[in-house]
Amino acid sequence: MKLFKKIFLIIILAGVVSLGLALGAKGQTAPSVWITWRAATYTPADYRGRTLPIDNSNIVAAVDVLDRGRFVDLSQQTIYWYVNDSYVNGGTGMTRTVISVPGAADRGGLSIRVSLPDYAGGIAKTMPISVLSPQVIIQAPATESSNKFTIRGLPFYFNVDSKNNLNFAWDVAGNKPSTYNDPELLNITLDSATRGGTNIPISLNVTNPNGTFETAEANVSITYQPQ
Amino acid sequence: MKRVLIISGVVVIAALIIAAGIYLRTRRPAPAAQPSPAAGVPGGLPSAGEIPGSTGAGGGASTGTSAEISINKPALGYVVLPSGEIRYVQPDGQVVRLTSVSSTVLSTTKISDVLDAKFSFDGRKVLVKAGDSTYIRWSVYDIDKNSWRQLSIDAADANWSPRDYRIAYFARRVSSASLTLFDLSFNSSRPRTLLTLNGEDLTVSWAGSQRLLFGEKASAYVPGNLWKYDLQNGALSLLREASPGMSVSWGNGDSGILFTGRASSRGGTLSLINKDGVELQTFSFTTLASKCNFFTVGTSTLERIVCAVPRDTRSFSLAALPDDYFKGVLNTVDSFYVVDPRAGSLTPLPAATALGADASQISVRNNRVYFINKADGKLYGANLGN
Repeated sequence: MKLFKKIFLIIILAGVVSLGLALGAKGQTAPSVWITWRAATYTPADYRGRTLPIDNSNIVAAVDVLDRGRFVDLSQQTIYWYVNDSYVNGGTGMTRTVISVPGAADRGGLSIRVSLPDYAGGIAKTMPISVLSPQVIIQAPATESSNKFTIRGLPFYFNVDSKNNLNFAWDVAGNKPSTYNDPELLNITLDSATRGGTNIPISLNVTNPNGTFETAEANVSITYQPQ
Repeated sequence: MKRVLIISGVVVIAALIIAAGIYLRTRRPAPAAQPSPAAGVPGGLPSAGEIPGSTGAGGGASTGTSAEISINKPALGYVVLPSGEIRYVQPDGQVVRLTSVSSTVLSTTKISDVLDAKFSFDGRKVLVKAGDSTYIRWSVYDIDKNSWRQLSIDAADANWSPRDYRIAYFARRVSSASLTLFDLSFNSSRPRTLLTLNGEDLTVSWAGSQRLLFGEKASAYVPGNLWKYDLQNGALSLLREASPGMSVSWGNGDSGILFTGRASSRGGTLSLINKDGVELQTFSFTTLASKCNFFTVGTSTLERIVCAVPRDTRSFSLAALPDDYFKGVLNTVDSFYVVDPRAGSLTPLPAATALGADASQISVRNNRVYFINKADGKLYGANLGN
């Protein structure tokens, strides 16, 4: 009978310990810190991808914390922001901050860190952000059967709000055509003497007149192939 | 004493059961120990370089009768109804109905700067996004009532529920973003906020009719997270953390296709995941999630997947995805396949492949696959079977 009692006491002890460990594990689920950000550079309105920063552009960064299945109200929390390990901003409820991307010396990437020293014993997160260069893409077919066609030039990641604040310089086989209402669109009419198989070199240089060294160029070649 | 021991025993057993239940509920499911199928392995999918019928980069030859252009005009969005009727939105915002005998302009209203157009699950409403980089306008067209409604929402993106007239989006506020549902069944309906975050540059999609997936817009150059929000109980969970280039295409069931970029910012992998984000299978071919869609045949509820897979696998694997594809730096010529995730089989679709298209907005209806060719913006259709 004594042995029976001992076995049951051991089982009770094991049960209590198991229950405590399981409840403890549930309570100790670490909060998730989520840094999100938006780069204040230009991309075309129909671009479905992410807008990325360039040198000397601004980023708005924000922090959220998921704890016990809910996003936490951080308005009373102390929040510190760091860029490349240097403190940039902080204070109570500072859930977002504006970060100026440093110049060319730091091209290649930024590291944004947020710290909440008083939440759950102190939590933090670091987010790497790539810094790109301005880019321009010419959307045009490789071959064209009509002697009248339209091509599109798309700037990405310039430090402007609108494409109207950029200078578009088109070059079509050495000619410098002008665009009308929309600088992205270039209407091309080939001379009637243009022979089939002729390659038409086209380039586009886009510059931000207010941005130091903000320029990008693209080149394509279209083969005129009348049917 | 004996009674005390028996009661204690029962209590202990109950405690152990509760503890085990809590443990199982709180632990993250382990990834399935399923190796990536390789070419030649029974049940496996062929590798990207060994796709049956692949002819390398370049256009394919037309097979004639089984594949054709369905609309000889650019379309921004479309739907094919069970009757075979096609409805589509032109770049000028006009909504058109096309049957086997006639073409009718349903809405003659022209809209400037249309950026996107999406049909509801049944094709009876159209959500239209217009504007420029500084201001976005949203409106919905009710085909039955022939009426437009302007939507007072400030959102970069919005998506229809797969089964009703709700749209989901992140409403932009001065210093926050609200995950919002807007039921467009009635003109008097108002948006309903589900969650308010501090988050920036977020996008949301549906994973079935009762779950939303949200996270940062995808880029090969920066990591992002993927969250799940359950509309039935408000539960939030983190599906994927700190992965670049993530995008998802979801069926009506509990599984979806996930594209994930690589740490090198070049190429990526495509996998089948369940509703908890657990990887069920890594496909040995690669394409973007937006180039795949789920479908069922007849009365079957078993979902299969149709994918448009870039033939030039080398260029695709060297591209920053999805950035380069969305910009137009990378254009593709696709081969089409039907994937049966249960059998692990891959069936080529030669008729669709022969079109040599760069496919987007893929759907299947009446044993035909439809898609918009990014190269010319037109809607194409091809027989599924051969």
